[in-house]
Amino acid sequence: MEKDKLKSIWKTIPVQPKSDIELTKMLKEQNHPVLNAIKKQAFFELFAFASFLVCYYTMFDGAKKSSLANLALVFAISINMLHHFKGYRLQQIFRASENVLEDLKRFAVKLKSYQLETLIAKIVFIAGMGIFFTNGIQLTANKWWAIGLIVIIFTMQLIFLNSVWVNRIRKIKTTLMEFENA
Amino acid sequence: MSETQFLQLLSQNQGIIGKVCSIYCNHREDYEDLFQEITYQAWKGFASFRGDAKFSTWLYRIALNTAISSFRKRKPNIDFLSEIPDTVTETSTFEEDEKKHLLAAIKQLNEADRAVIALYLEEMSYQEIAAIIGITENNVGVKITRIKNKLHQILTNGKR
Repeated sequence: MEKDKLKSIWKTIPVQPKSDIELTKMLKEQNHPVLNAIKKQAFFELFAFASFLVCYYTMFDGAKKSSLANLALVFAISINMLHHFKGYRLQQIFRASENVLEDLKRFAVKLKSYQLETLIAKIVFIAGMGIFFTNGIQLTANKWWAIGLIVIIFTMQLIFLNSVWVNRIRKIKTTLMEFENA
Repeated sequence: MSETQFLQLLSQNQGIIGKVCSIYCNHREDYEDLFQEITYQAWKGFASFRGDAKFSTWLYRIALNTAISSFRKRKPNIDFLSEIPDTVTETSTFEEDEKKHLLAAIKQLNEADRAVIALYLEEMSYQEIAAIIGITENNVGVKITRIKNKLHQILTNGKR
């Protein structure tokens, strides 16, 4: 295939036209695929957190725990709820401003900071839960084993989560390098 | 500018979004999601469009930016060019094959090269491409020569 012919072939590649109704629907936030997925997950978690906060005081002996333990729990849950909101905003904000290279650089920086915040939010969450549930109880050997197991599972989850973010950021950085190299 | 004005411009230039989705997506579902995402991003940023550049140039920037930065699930490469019955005119099998081969060849390039070659194939000048991507005109020239050679190699040999 001749190189000059590429442009003429490119022009004839068919693109399924969208109707004005379809395009209008696409302008609405509730039809955005990524935002919708984040919203669903956030709604589910917010519902779970809110339900927990409503009933933990009576059902999980909140009244018998120290004020510090109660505060730690509420703080840990609040941080995670806020973090979900930030994730939503990260996808929602308009990403293009100057040129592709500059915008990708800014996006990579934002992702890097979000990655760190994700890890911190998760650690704060498990620490808050740990402080609350271990407060005022007699820690027997079995309970220590259980805590150890929870910490191992949580650490593995954290490593997996981090690797997902590392791969996402690496992909953007690789593309940046590909743009910059001739 | 109003939603009506935006929709009018978008409707006239939606081929740009379609082409970008075609070179960055391997699956119909991914294509539709990315199309939606680009449209939404363009609408969100439309207030910042001052008309200094052509709408098509601006839209290309948004589309490429969104395509590269969005997190799509990697799915097996499925040719969906033949799944577009509404627009496929009566062309010969040979012409259809050429289109499929070109798209398939572009998809073998890295994400940055796909962006550069798409702009080149849209008849944009080196200056316009440099402004959209944010690299020097000289770099654009070097890249295009390299990418065209690579594409030529893929299309003739069927491999990189």
